[in-house]
Amino acid sequence: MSADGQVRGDWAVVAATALVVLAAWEGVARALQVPALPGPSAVLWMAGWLARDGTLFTDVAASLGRVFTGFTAAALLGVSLGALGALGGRWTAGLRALVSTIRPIPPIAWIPLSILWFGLGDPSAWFIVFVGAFSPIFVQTCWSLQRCPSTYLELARSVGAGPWLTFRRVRLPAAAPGVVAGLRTGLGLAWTSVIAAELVGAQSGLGYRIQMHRVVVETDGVMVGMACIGLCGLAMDAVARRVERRLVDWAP
Amino acid sequence: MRRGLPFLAPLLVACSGAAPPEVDAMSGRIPIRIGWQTTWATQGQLAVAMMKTTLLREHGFEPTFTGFSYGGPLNEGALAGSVDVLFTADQPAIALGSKGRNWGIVGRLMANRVGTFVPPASPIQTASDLEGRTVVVPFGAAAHRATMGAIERAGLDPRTQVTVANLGLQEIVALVGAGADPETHRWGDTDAAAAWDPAFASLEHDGAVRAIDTTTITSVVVMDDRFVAAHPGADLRFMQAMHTAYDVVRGDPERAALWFKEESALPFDIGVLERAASVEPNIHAGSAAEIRVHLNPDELKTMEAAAAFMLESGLLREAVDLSAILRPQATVPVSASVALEQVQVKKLP
Repeated sequence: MSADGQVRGDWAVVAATALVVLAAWEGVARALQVPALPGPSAVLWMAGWLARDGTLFTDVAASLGRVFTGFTAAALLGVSLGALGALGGRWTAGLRALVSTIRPIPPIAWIPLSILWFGLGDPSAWFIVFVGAFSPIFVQTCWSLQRCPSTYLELARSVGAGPWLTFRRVRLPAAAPGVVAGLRTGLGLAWTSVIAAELVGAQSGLGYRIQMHRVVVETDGVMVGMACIGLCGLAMDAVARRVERRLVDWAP
Repeated sequence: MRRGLPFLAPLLVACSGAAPPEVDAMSGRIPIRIGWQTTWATQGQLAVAMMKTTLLREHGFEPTFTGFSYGGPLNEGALAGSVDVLFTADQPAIALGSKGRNWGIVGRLMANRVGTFVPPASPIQTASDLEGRTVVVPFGAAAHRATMGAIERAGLDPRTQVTVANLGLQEIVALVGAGADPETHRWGDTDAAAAWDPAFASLEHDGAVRAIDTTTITSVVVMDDRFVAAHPGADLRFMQAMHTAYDVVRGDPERAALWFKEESALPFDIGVLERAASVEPNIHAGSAAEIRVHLNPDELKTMEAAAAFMLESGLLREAVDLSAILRPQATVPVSASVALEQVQVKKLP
């Protein structure tokens, strides 16, 4: 089978699985008729209702904006400081230890401080997204640059390459797949973090909307929010994978 | 498919709502699952009075208690069929009644305080000083309605003249706990906040806040109609037990407060619970005959205002007919059916 045929086949399997799952879900929901389990048709109706009054798009845009800003800052600082941490040797041991200490703290634990430091608006949510995405990007960049095979470095030295040239032509390309993997992980965590931030201290966004639907036991609204998060995450990951293929197309 | 069914079974049971428990053949008592809120004062003392004494057994019930952090998860527990009766505030009760058609209000739970407050040294003295300021409230909670009402009563439009922002209760407590800026007398960029007891009473007690508005909210007892159908008269008997629970708490409020503090493991002073209970007339009743566990016309009006607020603020998409959520028992006066002397404190196992 050709590659195109394989892709079409995969999509057909995905579509068929989705149809079976949706049909089973609808069947169970119709059989039970309880508010705790609305069927996909009810969720779709609610999505339409929220789309018509515009809140769905406003919330998606608000969450996307926060993810984009927080993640961009985390990517820039995570890659830069990760490179510094990898190449600075013992002089940057403190930086690596600091990130290792901060890394296990869940982003949601930063919320009270972020509100005090940055107020109730978007900057607070950007910070939470930044905190969530920064650590994996830093760690993966640092780790990937440190683990450049010594044979590559010796070869570069043997042909007279200086430190900058070695970094640019040997270390960086060798580390690139790891760095990009860190960026993808960071993007996923950015989504988790923005929803956590919006659940408790935001005035818009998908997390905020889920919380408001939860308050009035509108399970279909909660599911619309969850589906949007899933779809946005899927779309962003697809974009990230495309970028990854372009940047490190030689990687296995 | 046959392999998949065992995995589906728990989901089906959870979502359909478990069937009402059957009468215990040995004792003749009705098993009842009570959903209460572990961080909510006065209701907490009533729940622990039911827990620690034989009063529910004396009324023919064999209780099990499930604690929930607040009204949202409690409503979800109700829809999942995990409880037969629950103690909740007016807005969550309206939300549950509008979604789960088999849930209805069967009686009055308590009066509880919600407050709008500022840092102690803030120049803000009344709600009218909130013009151009930022107030944080947990959106969707009764405190949201109380603060919006206070702003409106002060002659301000809460949509255009005051920035009312959403913040969870725990985050409000953390924000206030961090202390106000000594120069601006604000918590970050926040001028005022709102919360309910015991969080509000605790912050007041610690001198961390100064109240600029205090409102009393009516909370209610909500019961599963299927439970009442399976056990006719259970709604009346439960409200009679609630009447006795008030009598137990009224008789020794400090003991009830200590029981609640122990059960909830919350780090507040007993004085906080006294402050919270100060608005509940039943705690200060001169005799058992003065205890009231049915809703009066004023309380029904407050609940109607709550339903109207939920619609106006977009929390509800359709108007809710309060009469469809109220069960006849809710407005019928109830008196004690068991002498207080019969009620014993349970012995530790």
